[in-house]
Amino acid sequence: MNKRPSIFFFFFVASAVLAVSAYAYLVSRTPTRSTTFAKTDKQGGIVAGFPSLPVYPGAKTENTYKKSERGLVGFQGDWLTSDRVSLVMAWYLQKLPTYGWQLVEAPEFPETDSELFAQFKKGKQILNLTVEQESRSETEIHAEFPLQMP
Amino acid sequence: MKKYLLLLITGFLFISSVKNVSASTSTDPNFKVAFIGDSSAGSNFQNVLNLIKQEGAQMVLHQGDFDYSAGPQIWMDKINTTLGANFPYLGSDGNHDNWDTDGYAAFFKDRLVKMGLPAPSGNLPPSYSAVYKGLKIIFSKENGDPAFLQSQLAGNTHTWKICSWHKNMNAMQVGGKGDEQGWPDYETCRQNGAIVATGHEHTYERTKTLSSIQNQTVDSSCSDPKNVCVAPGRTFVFVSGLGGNGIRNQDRCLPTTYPYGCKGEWASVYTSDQAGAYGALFITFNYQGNPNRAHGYFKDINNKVVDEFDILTTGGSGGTIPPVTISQSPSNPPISGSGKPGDANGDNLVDGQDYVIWLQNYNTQASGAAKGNFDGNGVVDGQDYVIWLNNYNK
Repeated sequence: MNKRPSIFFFFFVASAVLAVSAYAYLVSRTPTRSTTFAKTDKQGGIVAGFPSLPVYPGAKTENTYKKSERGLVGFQGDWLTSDRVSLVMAWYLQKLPTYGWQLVEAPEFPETDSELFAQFKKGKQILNLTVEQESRSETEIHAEFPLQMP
Repeated sequence: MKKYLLLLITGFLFISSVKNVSASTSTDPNFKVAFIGDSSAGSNFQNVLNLIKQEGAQMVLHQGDFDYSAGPQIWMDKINTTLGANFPYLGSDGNHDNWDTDGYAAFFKDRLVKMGLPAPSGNLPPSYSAVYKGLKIIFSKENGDPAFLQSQLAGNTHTWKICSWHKNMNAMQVGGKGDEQGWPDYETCRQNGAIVATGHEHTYERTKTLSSIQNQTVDSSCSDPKNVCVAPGRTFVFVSGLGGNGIRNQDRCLPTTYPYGCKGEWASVYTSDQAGAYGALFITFNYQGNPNRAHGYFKDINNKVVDEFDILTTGGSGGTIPPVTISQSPSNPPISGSGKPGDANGDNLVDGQDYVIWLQNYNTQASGAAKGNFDGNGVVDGQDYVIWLNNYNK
C-alpha cells in the first residue's frame, strides 16, 4: 500500500532527470554564435590601432580594418599603386626589416609580376604580405595581420 | 490466371526499377581525387604535390592559377617528376594563367590523351569536360559559362559530377574576392546535382548542403556540417586555394570559429586566422562499397586534417532538371520576341545564343526579351537567367 507512491515518485524524478538531460543535450548540439566579435572598417584611411607599417611611396590607401574576437585582434590594410609587383615587393623586403620585421617566408619567384607572397614576424605578431597584379595598370598591396593576442 | 498476370506485371515493374537504378553510373570504387588551386611553382607547391602522392590520390583537379609567371615548364616539371608524366591531372583556367600561350591548353589536352579520353582536334578550350573512372568533370572558363555547363549536365546520368572553375562570387568565399564568376554557373551545377570546386581565394572553406547557392540557403533536411547531400537541386561548394602561393585571412562571415557568421552556410573555414597551412582537399568517391557515398578531408602539409566529412548522393539527374522557384513574382508577364520565355533572338528556340544576349546585357537596365530581360522588370539579372534555364532546349 505504501510502496505505490514511492514508485510513482521514482518514475517522476527519473522522467524529470531524463527530460532535463535531453534538453541540455539538444541545447549543446544546437550551434549558437556565442563568440562575440567586432569589425571596424575605415575606407580610404587607417583604422585606429593599426600596426606600425611602412607604406609603399605613393600608394593609395583603399581600406583598412580591425577585427577582434576571443581577446584576439587582427588587422588588414589594402593599398593601390601603379608600380610593378616585383618592384613593390622588393621595396617591402628591403624596408620591413628596418622596422623590426623579420622575414619568415620569402617570395618564391621575386622577379615575377603576377602575385607575390611574403611572411614576416615581429615578436609574436605575424604579417602576411601579398602584392598582386590587379589589372594591367594597377598593383594591389594586402597587408594582413591574422588574429593574435594584442 | 489473374494471379499470373499480376506476377508478370510486378516482375516487369521490378525489372524496370532496377534498370532505372543501374542507369546511374558511379565511379570506380574508392576513387580518390585531390583538389588544389593557386599553387605557383615553388617549394610550397612541391610540398603539396608530395602530400597528394603520400595520400594516394588517383587524380588531381587544379582549380586554376598554376605558375604565377614563374614559368609553366617549371610547374609542369614538378608534376611530372613528383606524380609522373602520365598522372591524371586536369585544371581550370585562372586569372593569372595564359591558357594557350603558356601551353596549358596543350598540357591538359596531352593529359586527356594519356588518360585514354577523347580530346579535341584543335586547341583545348578553357571550358571542357571529361569522364574519368566514372567521374564527370566539367570545367567552366573564367567569368562563367553556364550554357556549357548546362549542355554537359542535362541528362547526365553519372552519380558523381564535379563543376570546376577558378573564380568566386563574394558570398562563396570568406576573403575579399568580389563577384566574378557569376551565379548562373553555381546555380546550374546545383540544379544538376554537381559538386562545385573553386579556387582564387587563397584559403580553404566548404559550405554545408545548399538548396540555393545564390541565397546561401542551407538545406534544412540535410544541414549537418559533417554530412552533406548532393542531388539535383542541392549541393555544396568549396574553395581549395592553399596550393602554395600565399595564405589569406578571413574577412567575411566572422567569427573565425564554428558556428561561423553570415547565414550559417559555412561548415569549415581554414585561413591564416585559423593558423592555416598549404594543403589539399581529398575526396574519395564510391567509398567503402557504397557507390552513392563519398568521403572528403582537407589535409595540410603538416599532416593536420582540418576538415572531414561524408557526402551522400542520389545519383544522376536522369535527364530532368527540377523547376526553379522564383521567390519574387515578376512585375510583368514574361515576354519575348517569339513569345517563348527565354528566347531573346526570336528564333523560337531557347538556346546558347539567347544566353549570350542575356550575358551581354547582364546587370544593365534594359527592357524587352530581345535584350535578355525575360521577366520584364527592367533589369537583366539572375531571374532572367533562371527563365532562360527553365526553358533551355525546349
